[in-house]
Amino acid sequence: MSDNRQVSAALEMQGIRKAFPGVVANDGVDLEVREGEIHALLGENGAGKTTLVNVLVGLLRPDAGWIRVHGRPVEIRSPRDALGLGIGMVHQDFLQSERHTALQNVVLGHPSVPFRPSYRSLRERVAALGERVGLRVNLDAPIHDLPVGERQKVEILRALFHEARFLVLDEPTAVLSPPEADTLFAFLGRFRSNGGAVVFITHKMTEVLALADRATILRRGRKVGTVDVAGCDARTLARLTIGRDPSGGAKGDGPPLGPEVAALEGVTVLDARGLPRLSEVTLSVRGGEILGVAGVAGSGQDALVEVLTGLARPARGTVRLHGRRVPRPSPAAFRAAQTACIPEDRMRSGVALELSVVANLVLGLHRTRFSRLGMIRWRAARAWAQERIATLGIACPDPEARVGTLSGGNVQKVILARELASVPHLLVAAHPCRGLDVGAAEDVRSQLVAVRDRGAAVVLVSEDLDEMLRLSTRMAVLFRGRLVGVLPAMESTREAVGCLMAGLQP
Amino acid sequence: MRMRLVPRGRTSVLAEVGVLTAAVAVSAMVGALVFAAAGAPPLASLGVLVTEPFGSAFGLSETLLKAVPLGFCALAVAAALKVNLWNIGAEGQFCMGALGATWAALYGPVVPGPMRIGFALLCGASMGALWALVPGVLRTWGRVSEILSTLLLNYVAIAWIEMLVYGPWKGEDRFPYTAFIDAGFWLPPLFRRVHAGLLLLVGIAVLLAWIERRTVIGYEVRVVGASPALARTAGLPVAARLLAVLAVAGALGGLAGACEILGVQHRLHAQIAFGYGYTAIIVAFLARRDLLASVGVAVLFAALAVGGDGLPVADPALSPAIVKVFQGVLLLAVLSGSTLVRYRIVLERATPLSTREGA
Repeated sequence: MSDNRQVSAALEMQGIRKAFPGVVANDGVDLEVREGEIHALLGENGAGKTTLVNVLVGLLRPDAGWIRVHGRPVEIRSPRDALGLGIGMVHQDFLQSERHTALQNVVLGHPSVPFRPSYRSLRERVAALGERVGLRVNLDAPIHDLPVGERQKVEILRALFHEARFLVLDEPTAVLSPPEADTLFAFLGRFRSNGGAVVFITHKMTEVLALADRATILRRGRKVGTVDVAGCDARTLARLTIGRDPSGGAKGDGPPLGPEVAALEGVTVLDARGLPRLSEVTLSVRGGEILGVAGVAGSGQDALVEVLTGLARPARGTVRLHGRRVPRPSPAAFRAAQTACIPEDRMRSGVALELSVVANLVLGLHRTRFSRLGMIRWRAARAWAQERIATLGIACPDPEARVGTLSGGNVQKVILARELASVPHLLVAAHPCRGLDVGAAEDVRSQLVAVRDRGAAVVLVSEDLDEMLRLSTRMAVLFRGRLVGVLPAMESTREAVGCLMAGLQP
Repeated sequence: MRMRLVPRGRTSVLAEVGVLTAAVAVSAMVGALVFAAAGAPPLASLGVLVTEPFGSAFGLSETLLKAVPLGFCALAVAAALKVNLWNIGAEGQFCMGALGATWAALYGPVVPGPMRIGFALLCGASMGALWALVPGVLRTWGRVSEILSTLLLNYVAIAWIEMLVYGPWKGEDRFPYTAFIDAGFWLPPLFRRVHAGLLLLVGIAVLLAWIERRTVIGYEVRVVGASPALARTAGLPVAARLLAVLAVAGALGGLAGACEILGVQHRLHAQIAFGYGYTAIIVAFLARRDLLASVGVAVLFAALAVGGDGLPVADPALSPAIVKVFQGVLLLAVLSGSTLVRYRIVLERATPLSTREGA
C-alpha cells in the first residue's frame, strides 16, 4: 500500500504506542485513512481501538509515534486541536451538555461563535447544514429529551459544523435500532462520496461488510493488518479479529417448555409526567424459553425490563410470578421469586465500582449462603469468589481488587457470575452483549442458553436483531410502548420483525 | 517536562500517611507565618500548641474532655457520609440529645439508681435519632435535600432549648439555665475531669466499625452507599437503610449532647453545643469518612482547641482564634493531598509528538 500513500493518504498514524499502568494498549500501531473511504477499526475489547482513536482526537497523548494530516506532521493535544484539523469524533457515550439544547451543543466551542451568541442566525446555519447533509434533528429540544439516535445526529452535526473532513465514530450502532442504523449508514455513504473520510469502530462484521472500504484489525494492542473489505467475508474478518475460528451460533432446540414463570396482564407503566412508557402489555414467559424483545430504541423496552424486575410499579394491570399475582411488585418481591437481572447500565446498576470483586459477587447471597448470625462469612465468600473468578476467567488481580479497576467485559462477567449464582428461575437480560468483544459476547450468549437449557425463563432485550433472532424461542416486538406482536421462532424473520418494529403489520 | 496524574489501582497506606504528615507540616509552616505576623516567636508558639494539650495531666484531660462531644459529632457526620448523606445537623442533634438527657434527669420517670445514667443516655440518643429522622423522611419520600434540612433544623433545635431554659425549665437563679441535675445522673469520672463518656465513645466507634465491616446490615449499608442503583436492583431495602443510618447518626449526635450534660455541664443552656457539630464536619472529612479515624482526628482537633486556649497565656499578642487558621489550612492541605492518595504523579519528558520527528 505504500505506493499509493503519497497520492491519497489523507490521514496517517504511524508507530503509535500508548501504555497504561500494567498494559500496553497500543504497541506500534499504524493507521492510514484515505479521502473518500470508510475505514473500519476491528478488534476485541481491549485490542486498543478506542485508545487509538482517542490518540487521534487528542484525548490521549501517545508515548511514541506521530500523526500526519495530508502529509503534514501535526501535534494533536486536545479535541479542539483535532477539530481544527478537521477531525471530529462521535463518542460511544456521547459527551454532551445534557441541559443545553441540540443547537447549543452543535455550536458549542466553535471559534466563530461569540461569547453571547445570537442563536437565531446560528440556528439557520445549523438547520441549513442539517438539511444539506440529510440529518434532521429538533434543534430546540434539550439534549436529555432526545433519544440516543437523535443525540448521535447532534454529535455528527457538531463535527460537520466544525467543518470536519474526518469523522471518527466509536461503535456508532451499538445504541441504534436497525432503522436508525440504516439512516446513519446512508449518511456515511453520502459523506464518503463527497470526499470525506470515516473511521469507525465496530464489533459487527455485517456492518463492516456492508459499509467499509477497508478495515484495520487490531489484536492485543498490535495491528494485525489492513484488508480490502471487498475481498473478505465475515468469517475471514472474525478469524483475523479473534485469531481463531468463531464458535458459531448457539441456537439449539432447547428443552421442552415448562410452566409460566412470569406474566404481565394489561400492564401500563407511566413516566414522571404521566405519559405511558408501556401501554396495556400482556405477555407471558415460560420456563425453557428465551423471549427476545425487539423494538426501535425507546419503544418501552426499558420500562418492560423495569416491570419484570420490580423496579417500576405498573399504574394498571397485574403482574404474576409463578402463576401467583404479585400485589405490590418490588425488586425484593422479584428477587424472592428467584429473578435475576443483567441491567442495561452495568457500571451504575450492575456493580458498585468502589467495592471489591468479592463484595460485588456476594450480593444476593449475603443473607443466605454467606451469612451466619447476622454476620457475613467473608472467608467462605472469598474462597467461593476465587473459584468463580477462575472458572469464568475474570481477569482481576485478586478478589479484593476494586471492581472499578476491571475492564468492561470483566465487569459484565462479574455481574453474570453474581446473578447466576442464585440459580434464577427468570433472567432478565438488558443488552447483555452491548460493547463486548466477539469472544466475551459469545460467552455471555452461551450462558443465556445454558440458563434456558436448565429450564429457566430468559427475557432478552437487545438492539442486535441478529443476536436475538439466533437465540430467541419467541420474539416480542414493542412499538411506542405497545406490544405489537409475538412471533414464534419459525416466523421470526428479519423482515417480519423489522416490519413490526416500524409499526407496520407484516 | 509535563506532569500527569495516573490513577492508582488501590489506595496505598504509605501515601495516606505521607499526605497526612505533609498536610500537618504545611499547616505548621503557615501557622508559623501567622504567629510571626502577629509578632510572636513562631517556633515557641507552635510548641505551645503541642505542649499545652499533651504536656501536662491537666492539658491532657482537657483535650480528652473536648474530644468526647467532638468525636461523637464527627461519628454522626461520618456515619451519614457512608450512604452519601450530608449530615450538617450534628449541632442540632447535639442540642436535642442534651435536651433529652436533661429531661430524663429533671422531669423523667423515676428509674432505679444504677440504670439512671443509661436511661438518660438513651433519652438523649433517641431525641437525636428522632431529630435526624425528620430530614431522613423528608429526603426519602419528599426529595428534600438533607443538607438544607439538617442545617436548618439546627436553628430549630437551639430555639427549642432557648424556649425551655427561658421558660418552663428555667432554674432557680435569674439566668437562662435549667437547675443542676441530680448527682446520681453524672457520668463517673475517669481521670481529672474526663468522664466515662470517653469509654463510651471509643466503644461505640469500635462497635460501629465492626458492624460496618462484618455484619449483613453493615455490608448492605456499604452497597447502598457505593451504588444506590445497584442496591435497588438487588432488592435491598434502600430507604430503610438510609433511614437507619440517619437514625444512628442522629443518635450519635444525641449522645454527644447527653454526655456533655451528664458528664460536664450538668445543666442545660442555649450555648451547650458550642459549635462542636460544625467542627465535626471538618473532622469527618479529614478522617475521610472513616469511623475510627474520626475519633482520632477529633482528639487532634480537641488538642488544637486546648492549645489555642493556651496561646494568649504564652503570648498576650495571640488569640485562640488563630487555631482556626490552622484548622482551615489543615483541611485544605488534606483535601488537596487526597488527590495524591488516589493518583500517582508521573513526570514526562518533552512531548512525544514533536514536529521535528515527523519532518
